[in-house]
Amino acid sequence: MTALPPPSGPPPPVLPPRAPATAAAPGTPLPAPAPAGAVSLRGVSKWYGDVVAVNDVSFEFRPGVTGLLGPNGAGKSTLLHMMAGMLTPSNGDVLIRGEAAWRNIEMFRHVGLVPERESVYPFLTLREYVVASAKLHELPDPEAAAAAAIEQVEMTAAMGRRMGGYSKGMRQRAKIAAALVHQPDVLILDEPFNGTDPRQRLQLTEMLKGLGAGGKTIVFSSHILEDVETLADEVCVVINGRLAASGPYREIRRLMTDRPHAFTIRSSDNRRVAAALVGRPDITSVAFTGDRLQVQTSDFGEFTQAIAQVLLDSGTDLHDLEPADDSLETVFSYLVNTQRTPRDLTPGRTTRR
Amino acid sequence: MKVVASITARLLLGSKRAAAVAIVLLIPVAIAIVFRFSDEYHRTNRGDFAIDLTSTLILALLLPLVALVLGTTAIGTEIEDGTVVFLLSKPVSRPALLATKAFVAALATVILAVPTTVATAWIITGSAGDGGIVAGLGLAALVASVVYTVLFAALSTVTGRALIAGLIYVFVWEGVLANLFSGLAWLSVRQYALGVADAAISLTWFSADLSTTSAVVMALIAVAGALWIGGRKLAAFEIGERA
Repeated sequence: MTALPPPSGPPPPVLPPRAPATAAAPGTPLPAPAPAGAVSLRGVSKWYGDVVAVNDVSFEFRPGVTGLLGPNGAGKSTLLHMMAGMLTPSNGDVLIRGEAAWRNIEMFRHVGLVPERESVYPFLTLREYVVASAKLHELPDPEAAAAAAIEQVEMTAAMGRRMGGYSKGMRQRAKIAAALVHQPDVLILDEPFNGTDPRQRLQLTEMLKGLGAGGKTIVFSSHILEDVETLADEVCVVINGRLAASGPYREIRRLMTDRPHAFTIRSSDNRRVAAALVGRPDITSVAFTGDRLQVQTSDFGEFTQAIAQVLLDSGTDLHDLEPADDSLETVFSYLVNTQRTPRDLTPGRTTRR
Repeated sequence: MKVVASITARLLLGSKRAAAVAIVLLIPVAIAIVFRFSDEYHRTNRGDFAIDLTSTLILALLLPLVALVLGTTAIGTEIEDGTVVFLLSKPVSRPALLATKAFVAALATVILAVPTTVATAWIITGSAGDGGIVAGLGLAALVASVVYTVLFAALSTVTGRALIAGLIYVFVWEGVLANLFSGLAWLSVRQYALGVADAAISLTWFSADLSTTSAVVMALIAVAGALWIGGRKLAAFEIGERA
């Protein structure tokens, strides 16, 4: 369950576009040249037999942190794997710095991949693991590069231990250290927060934010809204293999908060509550289901502020009030149903496609 | 590639399956020792017995099993558990990656199988130079170790069921079909091994289905072909397909 805050208070500030070179005045077409380090998806689809995993996705990933947000099975990992050259697109182009990612091993000099699966060689120590990564990248001083990468993920104290004894969070950081050792321009992370505790989460967020601010293109996937909120400058919402919306996090959040909300009410007299509610302009539907009242409102903030007074005025006792459909899946399906074409919510940019 | 070789070697050393097959290889040595101290030792033709025991128990059964376990452990298990992504997300040639892993596994098979074969033959015959039997069987074990292991390592990049496919090859193709149809000797690793052994063994009754030259050429083609196909398969590796 993902709780959405009421939209009361000041309106969300609008983030400026992060790459002024690519920002365009409203109405002008999107600029073509992508900055170095960028990942481009152009009409990318991937299907397995009859199953479509990714459906016609186009997007330019620019330096900074971009989060792919979507429920499990939405196609996020498939997209990331295509970006990392580990899957061939069934249609369209996946370009890393302007070159096709598929079967392009030289690309890995500029790309770091942190896969979701936590498998690491259990018999290697972290130091051996990261040094091996540095050697495979043919770095001039593998030991120094490995030490720096391990320091970056704050694992220096544990680097002499075999990874077989590591916790999930430690393995996650080990994989990140190995992926960072050659200082790639592009870092791709599949569900990097899986298995991390709150402290590791914070540390990882700070580190990735720092890398993004330093000009690297960081792309990560998550199905947890809060992870994306704290880390991503830009968000791509992926649902059913499609890019449903993209833009600064706050814009996506606003779009999610503005949707109709459903509540379930149980009170001492549901009919009186219903009678009092139907007269309100923000109420779009009222229905009786057993001993419960299903209410839909177009204004989350207005409703949550007014409901207490409505109950008081009608002289009824409230037994239960709960949001009926705040799961991430519901939020996403709302976005899908309202967006026939992906929305680009970046201020100053026209809708893509 | 030293890094890949070292990781593969440690992977094999730490594998419980590899340890189990290493122990299994002691069986023929034990049989040889029992034979050496039994009455049979004085009644049986020792050269014949050495060749029979080695070719049926080691070359036809235990050695292919060891090669199958080591060959598939070297890369197949990494593909299964996803650790191979660590290697594949580096600017490293895929065919070279496979070749390195396959040869480390082949070396491990050689280290386990060749001394076992030589020891078994030596204990039974009681001398190293008796009709070239020990040298011939040692050579056969060397060739079989390398070809089988490389073949099975490459096979594990092609299918997730390399273990089953390998068993079918050894027991159905080589064990049954190649015995029934002599033409299939051209596609039998065991026959390559026996063809090479033929060069050293001077016993008149011992003759392989393939000439030594044919056996060497076919063994080289098998190794090169397996690495070529496996290298191509690894270059087009798709995550999620099996990993």
